[in-house]
Amino acid sequence: MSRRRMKTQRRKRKTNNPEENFSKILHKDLEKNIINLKNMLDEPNDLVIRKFMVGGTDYKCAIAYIDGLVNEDLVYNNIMKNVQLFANQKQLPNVKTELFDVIYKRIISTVDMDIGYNFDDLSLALLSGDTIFYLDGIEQVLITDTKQWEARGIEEPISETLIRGPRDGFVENIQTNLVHLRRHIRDPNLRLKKHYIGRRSKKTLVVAYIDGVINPKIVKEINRRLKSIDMDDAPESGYIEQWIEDSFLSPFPQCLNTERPDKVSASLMDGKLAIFLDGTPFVLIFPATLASGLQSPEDYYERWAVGTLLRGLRYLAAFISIFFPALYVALVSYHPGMIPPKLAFSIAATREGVPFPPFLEALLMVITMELLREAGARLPTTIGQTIGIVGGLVIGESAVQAGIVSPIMVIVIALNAIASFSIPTYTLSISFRILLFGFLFAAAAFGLFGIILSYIMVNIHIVNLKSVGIPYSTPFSPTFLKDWNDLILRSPIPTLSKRPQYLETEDDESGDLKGEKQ
Amino acid sequence: MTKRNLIQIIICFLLLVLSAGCWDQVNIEENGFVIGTAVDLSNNDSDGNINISLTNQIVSPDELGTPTNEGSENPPFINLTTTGDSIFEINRKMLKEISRVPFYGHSRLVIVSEKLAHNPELFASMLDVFIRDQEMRRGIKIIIAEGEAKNILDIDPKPEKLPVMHIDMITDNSYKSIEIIEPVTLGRLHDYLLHKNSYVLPKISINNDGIDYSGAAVFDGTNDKMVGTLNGLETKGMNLIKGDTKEGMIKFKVNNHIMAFDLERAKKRIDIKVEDPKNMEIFITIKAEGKLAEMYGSKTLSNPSYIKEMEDKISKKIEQLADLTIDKAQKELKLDILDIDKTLKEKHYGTWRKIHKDWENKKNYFSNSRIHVSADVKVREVGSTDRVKEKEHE
Repeated sequence: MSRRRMKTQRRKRKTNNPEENFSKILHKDLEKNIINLKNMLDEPNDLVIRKFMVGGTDYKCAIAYIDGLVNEDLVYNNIMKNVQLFANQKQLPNVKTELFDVIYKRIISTVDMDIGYNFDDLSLALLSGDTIFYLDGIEQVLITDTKQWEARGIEEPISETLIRGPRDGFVENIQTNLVHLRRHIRDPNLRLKKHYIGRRSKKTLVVAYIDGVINPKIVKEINRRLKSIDMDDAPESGYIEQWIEDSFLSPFPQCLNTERPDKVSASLMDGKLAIFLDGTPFVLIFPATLASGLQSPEDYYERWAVGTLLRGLRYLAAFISIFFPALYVALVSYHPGMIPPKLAFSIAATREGVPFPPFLEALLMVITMELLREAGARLPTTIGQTIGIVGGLVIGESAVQAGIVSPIMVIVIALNAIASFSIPTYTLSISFRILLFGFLFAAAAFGLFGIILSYIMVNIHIVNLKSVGIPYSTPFSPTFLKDWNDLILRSPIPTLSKRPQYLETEDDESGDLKGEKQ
Repeated sequence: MTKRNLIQIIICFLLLVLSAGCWDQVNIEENGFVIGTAVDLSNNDSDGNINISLTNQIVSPDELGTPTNEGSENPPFINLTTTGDSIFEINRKMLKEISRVPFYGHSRLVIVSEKLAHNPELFASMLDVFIRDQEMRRGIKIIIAEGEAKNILDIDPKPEKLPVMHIDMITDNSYKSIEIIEPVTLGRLHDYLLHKNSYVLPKISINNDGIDYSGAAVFDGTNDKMVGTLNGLETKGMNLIKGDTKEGMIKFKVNNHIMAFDLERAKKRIDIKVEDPKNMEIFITIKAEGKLAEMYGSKTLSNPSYIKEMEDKISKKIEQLADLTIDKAQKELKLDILDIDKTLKEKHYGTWRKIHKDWENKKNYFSNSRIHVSADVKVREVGSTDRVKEKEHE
């Protein structure tokens, strides 16, 4: 018997198993339905089932909800009270099907209501915070939207703080997040396409884009990839990202993630696409390019000269965070002639008596730096600062005093760390750190020659990489010269009247310099 | 490709990196930074071979100290002298004497003794290794030393720490003084060696309390041998004619008062009458501009005729200096150190082709030519004041 056949058989057995306890169809009998429901959930203590009579009649009915997921005021005022008391004052039909219809249309007064026909509808609704209304003798149920639960309030996003810019960030509740987006974009063409992710968890996932702006091919491709997702649960949008990204071997992130509604709305306006997942404040933005990882919303909020300067600074930071320690190692151990004489003598003087070759010294310091960074990130902020002091001052200073590392190496590593912190996209800055190690090894083995070789290798990789079909290195290569006015140079806002060309948007104009429209 | 194959390939690549990598790695502190070299002719030639003695100034960075940490009392350099008959051989010999591998990437100077430079062919052959070796830079400056070259590496370098740095910085000041010629780099010298024209190199000597960097050594281009020297004044005249120097001081006298003229710009123009090559007439016009830097006496400068008088005096002085140099070049050295043949080549190519082989030697057209110098000086400004004192009225 082949392995695959065995697998499918095992899966069949598994999926058949729970069905023995309860049936998937709704019965006419109320009691049977309730027992069925209890069996399905194995009588959890937060399941509330309340049986009562429809007011003025002898018809039995029941409501069921999960405690804590619903707004109990809503359940009482709009469902129970109406069915028990209001029904008294009305002429109710005797036929049960008609009564069900009247309750659906006239008596229960929640805003959002639906009819459920089977247990699948019912369980998903119940577990996401809806209230189920049973009427005895009917094979259907009413699903009323009563969702409400305790949630974190809106706070400033910690991972992406700005000096100037909106202070609100996304939260874990997808509904709140979509409200955020709606408030930013009042375009009727804003599309929010819903998917359910996870075999078992059935998380809500929303793909947001602006119809008529975005290239439809991107939407189609993203939807196709999302449909291919097959896993139990997606606790964070990182799962989605890693499932649908173009190349999982690449060190580079092929989509951006953000907690900032303003960043998402600006991306949508550019002709990009956002993926919201319930339960996480991190929203994915597709497609991403290398250049977009080095941009911050603040570039646009400050005046253009400031924005341009900051962009240039960030490209410098990217260079330093990838190459600096490697260049130092290469120059110091292979090409002392390339260092200006006085600096060379002073490096030689400080390295006098250091027991390790520059490569080991650099590796030691880089790893120490990573440890400090990791420790600082995991600890609460108050202790995190202590780590900074212990690491930076104590270890740095005493390592130099003890002659384990040279002071210049400490400067190199510190500069490298600062540069990597100043990259606005955290995921990109981590991938730069990975590259740093590669370059360090290359520099130790072959000097500058090795650095150049690995640089060529990384370049080959980058020009081959794509994000949802969009080349990762664009607009540098393939070159879109018109997009260069928003690349390293951030030209004044009125001149940015065209959407990025590399996205091949349907509507390429986002404004007009002459201001003739309207 | 199976997984096994892939792993084998990866291991091969790793071995490649680990075995081929690092092969010329030298940690920076293990280098002996040679910052300057002095080459002398050694006396002991028992087998009749010419022996060269090479002195390397090697920096010891630890003694040099860092900005925060003053170095120790010991001098921050080691002068290592070794003798042999090839420079490369001497370099290899040095490995036996010092723990650090001599590294020439930061070399600044090569000082060659006069005695060696006088030796025909030896000068150029000795420089071969400096030009050929990849570690050497083309920016290394070549200086000719009066007397023993290695003594110059022992001078007291205050306020610098290294004698070589001290000399190197002095040579860089040449643009401020007209008595010094611009430093000649190895790259330029390479060019000189490849051509047959004569050339000059800066000269250095030790005087009682330090070094004296002035004058120039004149080399015959045909056999790359030093044939004579120019003193400070002659160098001044040569610089004025060649127009190499941008700034400089010219001292002159008006009514027995010493005045100093600060030359700021000098332009030369050379016209050559080539009708009779055996008796060429060369007209050199020097146009100079500058300001009055210092004056003795108290005559007012607001008088244009006084300024005119000064200009005439300065012109005369420049002509005098130029004539002095031309005299020396034509009569004593019989070498065209003034690069007049360059102008000849540019302006009268036909004539130059016919006579350039005999320009400096044999028939020596250069020495037989008549050279007329005329200078035209403009005093652009007289400084921030007319007079500093008002006592004597002239």
